[in-house]
Amino acid sequence: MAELAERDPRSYLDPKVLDSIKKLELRARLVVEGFVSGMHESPYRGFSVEFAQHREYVPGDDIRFVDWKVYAKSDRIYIKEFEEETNVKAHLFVDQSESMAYGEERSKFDYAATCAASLAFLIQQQSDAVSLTLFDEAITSQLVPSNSRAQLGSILHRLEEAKPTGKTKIAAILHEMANRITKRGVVIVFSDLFDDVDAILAGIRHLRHRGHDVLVFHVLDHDEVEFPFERMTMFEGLESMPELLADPKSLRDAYLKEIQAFEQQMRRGCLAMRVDYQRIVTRQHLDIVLTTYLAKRAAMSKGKRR
Amino acid sequence: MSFLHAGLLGLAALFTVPLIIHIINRRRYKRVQWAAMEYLLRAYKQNRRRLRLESLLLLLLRCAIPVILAFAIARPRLTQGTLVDPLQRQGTHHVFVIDRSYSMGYRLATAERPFDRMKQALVPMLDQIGQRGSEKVTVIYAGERASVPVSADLDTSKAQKALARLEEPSDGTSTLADAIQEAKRVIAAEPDPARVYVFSDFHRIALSSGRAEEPAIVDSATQAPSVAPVSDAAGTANPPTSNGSGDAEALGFERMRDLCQDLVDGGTKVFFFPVTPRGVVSNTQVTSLDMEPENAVARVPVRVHAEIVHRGPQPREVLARLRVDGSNDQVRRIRLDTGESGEVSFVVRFLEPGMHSVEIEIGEDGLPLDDRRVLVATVRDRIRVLFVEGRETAEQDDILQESFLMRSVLDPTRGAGGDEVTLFETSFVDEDRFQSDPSFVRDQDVIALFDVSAPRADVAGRLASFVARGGGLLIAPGAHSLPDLWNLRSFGTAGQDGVLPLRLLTMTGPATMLGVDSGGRYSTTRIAASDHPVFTDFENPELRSILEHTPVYRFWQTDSERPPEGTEILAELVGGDAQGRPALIASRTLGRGQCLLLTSNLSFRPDRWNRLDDTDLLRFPLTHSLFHWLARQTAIAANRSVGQSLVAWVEDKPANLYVTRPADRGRVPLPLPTGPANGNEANGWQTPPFNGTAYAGLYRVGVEFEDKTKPAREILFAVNPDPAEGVLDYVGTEALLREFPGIDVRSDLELDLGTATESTMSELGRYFMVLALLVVLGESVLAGFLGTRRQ
Repeated sequence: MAELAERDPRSYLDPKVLDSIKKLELRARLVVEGFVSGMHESPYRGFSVEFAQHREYVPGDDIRFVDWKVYAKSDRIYIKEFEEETNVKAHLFVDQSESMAYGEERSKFDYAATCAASLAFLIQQQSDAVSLTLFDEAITSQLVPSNSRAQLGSILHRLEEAKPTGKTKIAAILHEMANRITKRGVVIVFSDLFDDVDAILAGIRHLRHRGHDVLVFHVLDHDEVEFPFERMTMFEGLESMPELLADPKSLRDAYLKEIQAFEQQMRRGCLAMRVDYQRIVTRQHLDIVLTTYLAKRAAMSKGKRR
Repeated sequence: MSFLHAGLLGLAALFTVPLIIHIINRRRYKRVQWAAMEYLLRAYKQNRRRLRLESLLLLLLRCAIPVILAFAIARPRLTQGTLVDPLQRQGTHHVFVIDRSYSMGYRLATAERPFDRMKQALVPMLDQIGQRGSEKVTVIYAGERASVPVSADLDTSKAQKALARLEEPSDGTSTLADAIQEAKRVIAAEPDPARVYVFSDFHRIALSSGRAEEPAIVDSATQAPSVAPVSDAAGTANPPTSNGSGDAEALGFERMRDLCQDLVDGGTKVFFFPVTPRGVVSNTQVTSLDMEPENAVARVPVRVHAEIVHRGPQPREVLARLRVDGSNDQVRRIRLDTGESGEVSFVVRFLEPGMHSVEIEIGEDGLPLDDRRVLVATVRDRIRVLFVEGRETAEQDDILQESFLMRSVLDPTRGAGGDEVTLFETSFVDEDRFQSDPSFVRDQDVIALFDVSAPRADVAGRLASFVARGGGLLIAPGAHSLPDLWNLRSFGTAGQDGVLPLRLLTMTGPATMLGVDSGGRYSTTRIAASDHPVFTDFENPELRSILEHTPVYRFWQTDSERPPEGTEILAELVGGDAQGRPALIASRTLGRGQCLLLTSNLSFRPDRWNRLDDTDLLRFPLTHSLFHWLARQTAIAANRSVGQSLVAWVEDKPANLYVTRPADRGRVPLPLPTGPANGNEANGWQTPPFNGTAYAGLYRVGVEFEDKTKPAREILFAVNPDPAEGVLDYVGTEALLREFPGIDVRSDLELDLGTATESTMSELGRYFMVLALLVVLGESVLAGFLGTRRQ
């Protein structure tokens, strides 16, 4: 398991990663609410910069938005509507249960924290607000959304202080957060999702129901994906799970089948709810993972807009 | 089940090695804190049963490999009828077959004898076995009879002592097949895996001869229907000739090969150790010693013939010395070339009746035993012949009596005797007196019945008993004989004691000589058994021609086409009234005696039936031959071969019996008979068989009678070696290898018992080895399959 010793909070910001992602942007794939005009699509039609459509004038409309040119041509009064661009509130949910502590060179929590920090940096760069929620079986730490410059430092500090312990109850956390966050935003979950799959999907559904754009980063260790053990091994369960002495070679096939089924179930559940599901393995380079993902997401967002 | 190497079964404990490795592997594991435990547990629960089964199967296979391998190298053997006994003592059973035949004593110049080489080779082998412990030893002597002095004994010192006592080879032959048969029996009685070591010079006779038949005397003695008092002689038969050739040889060879093959097939390793003399062998031997005539009579000279054979690379001049009763030396010289046989003859006259020893000796060579030979001559005062004349002719003049001619031929003095020496002592009685007085049968050598109407039933039985115990009987039916009564009371068929060789049918031919002469119809004789002793004098072709062309007018037609078993037709009639070649002379063997049927009698009667009496050229040799041959059976030859039993007959109840063996080998007491022969004191007493004739020479059965008035006497027996053993014809190593496949032939006389043991593999050992290989293969396949799947 990775050593979670005291470290410089800035170490979560890998210059190489940041350099590779800074030219990208995290756009809300869905429309989000906001006050400051920005890059994210707003659910409100108003009088902003981007023309949206014409509609017939009804009494009470502000005459400043009457399109006189159309009136001159057609003798009918139409009101010009513009799309409003808002800034987004991004909520980072990072799992700090004990299972996230697993990892030979780098723990899953470490990896998830780095990933979350990088995205927080990116979001801040976009002048969007970002919040952080750390949880295990309950919310252990939370920062309210802010786009201030100090917010990134706070996030990094909280991440640095966090120790992965305790059991996981992701579903309950998701439900709770869905109830708490009233305005639509982008919810980004970092977890190994080792909990009841159906309950997790129910929690995500709840968030979606609230109009959130949900991104799930399914963080797994290389060992959990490949199960490369050879010798007789005593597997000691984390989070109060029992231990098992077994010949790993004899169980490998069956385990991989189980873990793949679990992953498939999560992926399909997310797909059905239009939730971005991204499995990341801690041995993968984070810059490549994020770059690939953000580029793909940006491409999908543009496609949708056209 | 038994094991060749029971100790190696301990290797089966190696089955614990895979178990220990398994346990150690389960204890030597690394610890991993595992997050995805839920999925790992789910995978484990779903596959737990299969995984356990696979692991268990693999573990069992791995544990089974050392167990099966241990069984394979311990070489288990299933013994028929034997259940598995884990406490049973296991070890190799060593069976030594030792050839004791006298050819083993052959000494080539100054070289060691095969017998000595064998003993020298045996000593270290027995020492080795003794050091190994828990191994059984059997010693079998291959001699005239196979004997087992040491049988499956764990104490090898007994075998060593038996070997030490075995100072010299016996004077007999050996039958290796009998010894191997005995070895097979001993091996079958023991559960241990066995090894057979055969030490022999592999004389062809030893390999080829089978079990010799028991001498007739022993059979007749044990069955005892024909026992009778014999005045001075012991009942013996002629020594059997074992020339070891022809079908018997081939048959014996096959038997030896089959027996060895049976042993090999049963998992027994068989070794041949040839101790054949090295170099050019040479042997001169006396192969036979006979007396002519066999019916020696006191004061009448007889001729003694000895045959000498020289088998050597160089010609040799042999000096033959004959002794009668230990003295009266006669010497003959004979020069023999390589492989040549020659005969030397001596004329001997026994002055006194009784038993006399005749011994011939030539100069000793490498095999001294067959350089001498001994003969016991039973000399009678005369041959006693009783002539019985039929009642119809008994009252007539002598010359008209049917028996007159033959009486005259046998005893020209007609009972007057005097200084004239005659071989035969004749007596005469008519039919009625003979049939009414049983005492006439006693003290006769030959009884001749002429024109007897028919024997009474009791007389027929008495005659059969007389012949069976060695008497001779001549039957010459005449014109007054009643064929139906003869056939009813005396016709012998197979298994019956009848003395009549053939069934009488009808009298054939003209009634008077006048009719014969005028009619000119007659039959002639054809000799059917020209080599029969009766026709010895008719080997001359001219004499034979005269006999065969002499007319025969009248004769008794007999049922000659299907003679019963034991009957031989010696001469038959052809032409004239002879239909279907009826017999003129027929013989029948009954017990130890012989009967002769003469269907056309020789007589001087005017109405004689034939002209066989016409000249002395015919009547003298024919009559003498007939009666000599009949009397020979009563002149018992007490001449035996080494290994044969000695049985003596005495007329009075013995009080003490003993056997004095030759060459100062001491005296052996004999048990007394439990009763008279056939339960009747009139039959005399039969001594128990003495089987210890292991040495050649003169044996004396001493008898002291219960009736102290009767003087003690000694009955002589001559026991001679089988001359075939002196041929020194050895089966070489190459021939042994060729003729006995599967046998390990060791000419070096050295054997590492450990190597021999290891080179033998029982049937089950092979199966276990195959099973072990299959299990190893199965384990590899299973482990490979599981490994591939787990990859």
